[in-house]
Amino acid sequence: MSVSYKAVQWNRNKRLYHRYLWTSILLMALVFVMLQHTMRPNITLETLLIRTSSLVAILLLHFILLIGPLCRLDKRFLPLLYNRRHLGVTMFFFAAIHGVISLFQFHALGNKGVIESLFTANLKYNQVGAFPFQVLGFFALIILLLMAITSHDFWLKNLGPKVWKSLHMCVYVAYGLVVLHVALGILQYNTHPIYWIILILGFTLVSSIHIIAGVQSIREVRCDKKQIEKGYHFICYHNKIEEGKGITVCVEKRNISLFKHEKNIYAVDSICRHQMGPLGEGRIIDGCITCPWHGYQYLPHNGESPPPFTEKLATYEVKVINQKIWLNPTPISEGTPI
Amino acid sequence: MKYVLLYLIIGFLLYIYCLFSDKLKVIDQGTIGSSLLFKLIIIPGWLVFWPLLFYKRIKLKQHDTNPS
Repeated sequence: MSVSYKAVQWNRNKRLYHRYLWTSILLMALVFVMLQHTMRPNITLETLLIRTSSLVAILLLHFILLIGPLCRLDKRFLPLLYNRRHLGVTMFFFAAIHGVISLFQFHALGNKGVIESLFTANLKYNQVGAFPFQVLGFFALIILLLMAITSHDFWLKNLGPKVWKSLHMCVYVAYGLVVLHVALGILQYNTHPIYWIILILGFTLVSSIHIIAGVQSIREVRCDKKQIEKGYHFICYHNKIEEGKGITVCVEKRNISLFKHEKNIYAVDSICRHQMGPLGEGRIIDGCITCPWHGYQYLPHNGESPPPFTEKLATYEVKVINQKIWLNPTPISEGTPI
Repeated sequence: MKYVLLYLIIGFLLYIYCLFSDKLKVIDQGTIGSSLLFKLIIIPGWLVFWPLLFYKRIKLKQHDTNPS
């Protein structure tokens, strides 16, 4: 949360993370370059750069895609989530090196323009074995470009959370394109089977972790229809919610988060206004509901961010009778104290 | 390609106009007091998404003149 924008909100942890990230990348690249040079002593500098940058980019992409579901499975991964954008821009940097050098090496020396050559050099679009896989990589790079250039809170605010989130969810489209790009490349160049194994392992890992996290995150409290009184739904017993923590329930197709703060129960919309993070998985810090993703905060009694911030959440009426928590799922307008 | 280039050039010119005529703060007050590096970082996004920013600016202007 920041009043005036900064290019990068550096802090001690971010600097540390930045150092670890670049040390890992440089080590990984160094090992790969040495391996390539040993296996193919005549390899050109351009080919070495194309391969190394693609390896770094694809490994980072897998890592980035794993961060979200891993955080749902275990909160110890949350520090990675706070720095995911940083990682995403770094990944795009390497993907762009791969893309630009490839374009110039394979498509800039003819009598056609670079982009025209990319789309027309190979017209076997109807053959899987000879499909122009570079085109798939090009479209993936465009998506990653759009994501990288909007990886700042300025764009989140000005495009709006829904548009911004939709744009950034396109990372899965980009991932699909990258997987096809690599698979077809391996198929056509008939490279070592180790590349197939790495690709399949990566895809299986990303898919399975997403499925496991998806199943775990379905934590709906099914409200018994008999347990509705004067518009209030029975949610659970008061002792089911831990002090300073929350739960998320789905009532009348609304996801609502309930928090216990100083023994009182408060209910707010479960979606953070920043990046639509799951507030119910957050906790109360300094008297505020704190989003587990990026630390955006809201006052439990009225859903407003503490001044000078302006974000607001809808609130809901809650009653506690004989230790039973009852919730009215009709939202009260944003910022109204309960 | 020419049209894409034209689109990007228009975006860049509008950015320069907004930067030097202090209109950035009208689009987003968070830009007040922001660093030069931030102003450089948003340029690529601006070149692509400038119509959305201007749509927002027009909507804000309409809201200011007719708050109801």
